Amino acid sequence: MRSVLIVEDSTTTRAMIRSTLEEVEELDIVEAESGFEALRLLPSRTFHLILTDINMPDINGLELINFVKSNPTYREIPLIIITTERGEEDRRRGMALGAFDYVTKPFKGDALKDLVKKVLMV
Amino acid sequence: MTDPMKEFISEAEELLRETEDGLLDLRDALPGSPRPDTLNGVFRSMHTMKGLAGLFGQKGISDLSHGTETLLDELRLGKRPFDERTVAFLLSIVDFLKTLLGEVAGGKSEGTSVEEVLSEIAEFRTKGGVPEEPRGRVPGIPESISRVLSEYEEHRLRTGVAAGKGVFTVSVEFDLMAFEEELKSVTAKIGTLGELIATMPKSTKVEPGNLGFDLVVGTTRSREQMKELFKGAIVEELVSPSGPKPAEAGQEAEPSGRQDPLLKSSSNTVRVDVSKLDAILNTVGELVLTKGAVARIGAEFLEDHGYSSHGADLQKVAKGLEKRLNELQNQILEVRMVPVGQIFSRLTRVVRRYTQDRGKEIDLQLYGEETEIDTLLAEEVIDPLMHLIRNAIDHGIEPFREREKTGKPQRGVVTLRAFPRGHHVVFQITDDGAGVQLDKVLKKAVEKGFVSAGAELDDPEVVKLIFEPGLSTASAVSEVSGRGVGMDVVKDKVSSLGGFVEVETEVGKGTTVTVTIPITLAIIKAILVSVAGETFAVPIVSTAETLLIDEGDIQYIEGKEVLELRGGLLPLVRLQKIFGLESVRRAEATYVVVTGFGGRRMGFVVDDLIGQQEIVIKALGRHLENLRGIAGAAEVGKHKIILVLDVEALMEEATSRTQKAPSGAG
Repeated sequence: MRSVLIVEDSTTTRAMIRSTLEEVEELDIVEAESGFEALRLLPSRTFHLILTDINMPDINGLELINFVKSNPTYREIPLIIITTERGEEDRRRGMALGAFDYVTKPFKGDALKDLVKKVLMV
Repeated sequence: MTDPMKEFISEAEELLRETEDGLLDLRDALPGSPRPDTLNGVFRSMHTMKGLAGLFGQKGISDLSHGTETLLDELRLGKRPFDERTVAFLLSIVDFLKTLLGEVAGGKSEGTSVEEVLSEIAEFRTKGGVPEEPRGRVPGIPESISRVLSEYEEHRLRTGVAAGKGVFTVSVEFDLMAFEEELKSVTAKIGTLGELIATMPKSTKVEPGNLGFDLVVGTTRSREQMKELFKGAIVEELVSPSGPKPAEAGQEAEPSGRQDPLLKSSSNTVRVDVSKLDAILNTVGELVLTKGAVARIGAEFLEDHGYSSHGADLQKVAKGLEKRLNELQNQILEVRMVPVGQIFSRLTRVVRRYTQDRGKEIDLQLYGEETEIDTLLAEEVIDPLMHLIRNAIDHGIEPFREREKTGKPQRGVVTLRAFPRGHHVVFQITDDGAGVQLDKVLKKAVEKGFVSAGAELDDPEVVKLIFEPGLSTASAVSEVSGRGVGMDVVKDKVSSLGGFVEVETEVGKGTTVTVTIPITLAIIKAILVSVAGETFAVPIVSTAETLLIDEGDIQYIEGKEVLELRGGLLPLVRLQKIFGLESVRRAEATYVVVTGFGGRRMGFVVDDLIGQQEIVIKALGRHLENLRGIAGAAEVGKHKIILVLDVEALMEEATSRTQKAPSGAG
C-alpha cells in the first residue's frame, strides 16, 4: 500500500484528483485542505508521494515543498506540483526547491495517473 | 445533472461570492490603498475558479476567469493602480460569470460567448499600467528565505522595503498538535503592527514533536520594539526600517498615537489575550502548590512540637490563603468563560456551506447558546462537534426520496443542544435520520476482529463498537466515501479534554450523540490513592463516592469481581492489574473509588486513600501523550510527581477487556 497526500484548497479539485488516483491500485489517498493540515498529517504515516497546489492560504505550496525537502524525515518524499499554466514563475521556484515534477490544470486524468505510477514505480 | 457537476457549481458559486465580497471590501477602503491580503484573496478565488472550470470542461468560464486572474495578478503585484474604475469593471465581470454559471446550472449546452468580455479585459489592461518593478533578490534578504518566497510574497517584501519598512523574522515554535491556534494569535498580533509577508514552516533546530515557523514580517517598528513585542520568540532583523515615506505615513500611522477603538474608555471592557490569562492561571496553580506546602509544614510542626501558637497561626494563615486562592481561581476561570453561542455561529456557517455542497436540505436547530464554557475548551471542542454534525448530515439524514418513502419531512433536522450539568457541559447532537444499522456494525466488527464471531452483544455494546478505529459510521453504515474521520478520532479528542462520548440510536428514528466535557481544565480537585506503593490522582469530578470494604465482600460473577452496592452490582477493577504493578500487601480491608455517572459505574480497587487535594494537571509530553489511562502528571508536596488517571479511558479499557475475555485475556 502506498500513501499519497493531496494538498489542495479547492474541495472539488481535490475530489477530482482523488477520483483519478483511485484508479491506481493499492493507493491510500489522504487529503489536506490547507498547508497547515498537511503539516499536521505528515507525521501520521509514511507518505510515498505528495501532490500540492501552490496558491493556498496560510502556507503556500513553495513553503510546504521547502519544509519537506529540508526535513531529514520527509526529504525523500517526492512532490508533484499541481498548478495552472500561468503560475509559471512560482512553478519554476517550486522545481528549484526540489519538486519532482509538475502537472498543469486542467490535467488529463491519464497523464496524472501515469506520472503518479512512474513516481511510485507501480 | 451528475453529482460532481453539482459540486462544481456549488464551489464555483462560493468562489464568486468570495470574490464579490472581497471586491466590495476593497471598494469600501478606497481611496486608500487596497489591503494586500484581501486583494490576494480575490486573486486566489479567481485562480481556483479557473482551474476548477478547466477540470470540468467549462471553457467559457475558465477563459474568462483566466483573463480576470491576469488582471488581478497585475493588481496584486502592484503593476497597475487599484481604483474605483477597476473595481467597477471587476464587479461587472463577476456578474457575467454568475450568468455563465447560471446557464451551466440550467443545463444550457451552448453558453453565451465570452469573447467580447475577454477583449474588454485586454483593452482595459492596455491602459494605466505602471512600470515593471525590478526583479532579483531584495537586498538584505538571505537566500534561504528568498528562494522560498512566491512571486507575490517577494513583491510584498519589495514594496515594504521601498516604503521604508523594516523586515524581520519572528521565529516561533509550537506543539505540532496545537500549532494552528497559537500561530493564529501570533499572526493576529503581527497584523496589528505591520504585515505578515510569509509563513515558513521549518523542521530543523526544533524540539521533537514541535513545529517551528519563521514568520517574515514587514513593519515600521524598530528592532528593540519588535524584541519587546515578541518576547519568547527569536526576532531577527533582516532590513532595518528607514522611516515611512510621506505617502505611506498617513495610512500606516500605527497604534502609538491612535487609540484602538476597542479600548476607548466609553466601553467598560478590555480584550485580553487568552495566553495572558493562562499565565495568570498557571501562577495561581503554582501558588496552590505553595499553599499546600505551607499547610503541610503547619501540620508537621504541630505533630513534631505539639500544640504551639506558631503552629496554630501557620495553619490559620494557610486556611485563609486557601480561601483567597479559591476565590482568585474562580474569578479567573469566570473571566475565561465564553458562551457556546460563539462556537455555534461558527458551526452554522460551516454547516450551511457543507449542506450546499452535499445538496441536502438540513434544518440546524440550536439550543442553549448561553451555556458557558472555558474559552480554551470551546476552541478544542469545535472539531469533534463539527465531525459529529458532518456525520449526522452525511450518514444520518437520508436522501430526499428515502425520507419521503418513510413519511418523514423532506428537510432533515439536526439539533445541537448545549447545557450545563454540574461541572460539565453537555453537547447533544441529534438527527432525525436513519439511525445506525447495528447489524452492519457488528458484521464489520467481526470482520475486523474486534469481536469474535458468534459473540452475543446487546445493542448498547454494539453501539460502543463504532468507537473502534476503522469502524466509524462512515465506513460501516454507508459506503459514501467521506473524509474518513472516524468516531474513534472524536472519542480520543473528547477524552483528551477529560470528557466522554455516548451514542444512542434507533433504526429509522435517528441518532443522538452526547459529548460531555468538563467546564474547565487546568486546576482540579483530586483524590490521591495509593496502589501497590504508587500514588495516583483520581479527578474528583469523575468519582461518585469512596467505600471501605472487606475483601470478603467481593463476589465473583463469571470470574469477574463485583461488589453488591445498594441492590446493584458494581463491577470492580484492580488498578494494579491494569498497570501491571506488583501487589505489596493483601490487606483484609480495602478501598474502592466509585467512578462514572448514572448507569455507567465502576469501582477501582485501591490499597489506600491518601486524601483530597487540588492539583494542576500538566501534560506528559509528546512521547507519553498516548499512554492509555493516564491524563497527565501533577506535582504534589515535596517535589513529588504523581500520575493523574484518565478515568474515562480506564473504564473503557476495563469494559473492552471483559468483552474480549473469551480468548482468556482477562
